[in-house]
Amino acid sequence: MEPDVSNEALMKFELGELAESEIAAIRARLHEPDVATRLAHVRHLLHAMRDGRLDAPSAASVRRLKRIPRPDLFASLARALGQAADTLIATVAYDTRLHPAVAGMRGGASAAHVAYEADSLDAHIRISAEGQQRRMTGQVTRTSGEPCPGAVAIVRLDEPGASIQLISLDDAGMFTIDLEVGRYALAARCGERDLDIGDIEIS
Amino acid sequence: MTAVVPTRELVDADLIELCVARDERAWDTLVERHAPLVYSVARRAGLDASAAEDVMQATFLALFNEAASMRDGQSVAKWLIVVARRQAIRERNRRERAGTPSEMVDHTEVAPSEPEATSVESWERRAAVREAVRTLGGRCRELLSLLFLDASEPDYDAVAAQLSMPRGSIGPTRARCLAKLLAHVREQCPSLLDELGATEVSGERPKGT
Repeated sequence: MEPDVSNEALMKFELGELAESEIAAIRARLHEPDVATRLAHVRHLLHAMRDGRLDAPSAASVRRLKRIPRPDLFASLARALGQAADTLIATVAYDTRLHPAVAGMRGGASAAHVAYEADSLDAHIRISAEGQQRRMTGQVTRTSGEPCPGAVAIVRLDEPGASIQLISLDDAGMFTIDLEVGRYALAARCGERDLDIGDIEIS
Repeated sequence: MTAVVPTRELVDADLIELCVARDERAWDTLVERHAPLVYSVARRAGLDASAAEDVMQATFLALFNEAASMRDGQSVAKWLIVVARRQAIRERNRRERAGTPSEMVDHTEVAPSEPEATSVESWERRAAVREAVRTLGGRCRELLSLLFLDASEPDYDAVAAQLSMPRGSIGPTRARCLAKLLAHVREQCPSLLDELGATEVSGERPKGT
């Protein structure tokens, strides 16, 4: 009885890594159903492997994904805002630093505008430069557009042990705060809900 | 004493369970494992890089919010593929309806769209092959991932340097690892190979990168 044709030999056959005599030996066995089936499987697998390469997202976007669950951070921001509330995690609706055309439409190339949204709350943030200082102006609204008076808690992410700053929202749901360059997280309290914004980069 | 298993060795179902318990390392591992898949699904739906990253963000946010309600045995990869495709198609339609100014879209970066009706299954099969490579572990996982799955498509010199192995041993090791992968798939998921074959015959696979 002839020795079995190994999967490794079939792989090498398909990859073109065998000598002529070895190729001939395998060809002579292809009439055997088991060998033929395994060779077909080798081809299917190699095809899938060659076709399996994925695109790589940017490292910055992957870092943003990793910051989605920050329960401890947002728990501390929520405590600073008072009693516990339901939380909504905001996603970026647009960022003029990424979409310059939107900046043009808004008529403000010198300031960055970032819009965040969640199920029932939205936030618009404008970041402008005042010398070395940066000024963040924001407005928190319900999705309907109705302003949401309340408060915002903000903390610097890239400075361990940084203290939380509390800012009141005015009747229009607006706030202003001067900040240094850095990365920040923010929670905006609107009624019984907090809008959590995980990573605001101020450069 | 209980040995601590690195999160990257865990299957998706275990990672989801840990995520529900707010384990951030488990979340990081899920992101590293599946972000390229979700991003690629969005790109193949015809979105540019920026829009695809937005879709990726929304998809993982949905996963984070839905993790607690995922059923035992539910495929995380399939869930992500379905949600990402839905989000991507919605985003594409929204942009088309809005007549997005052309300067907002880098047309050179827009990947061609794939046939929509068949691609979820195709993506799922490719994800299954990636998972099979991951479960091989050790040197074979590292080598096959670099040779076949790494988006940067490193050449043999780079692979040899990264894995600290002689360049001349890459070919033989590759064949040995592929044979090991074949045996693993035939044992663990035999129908996958026939499904891959059927995909090739019908030509429904996603476009290569």
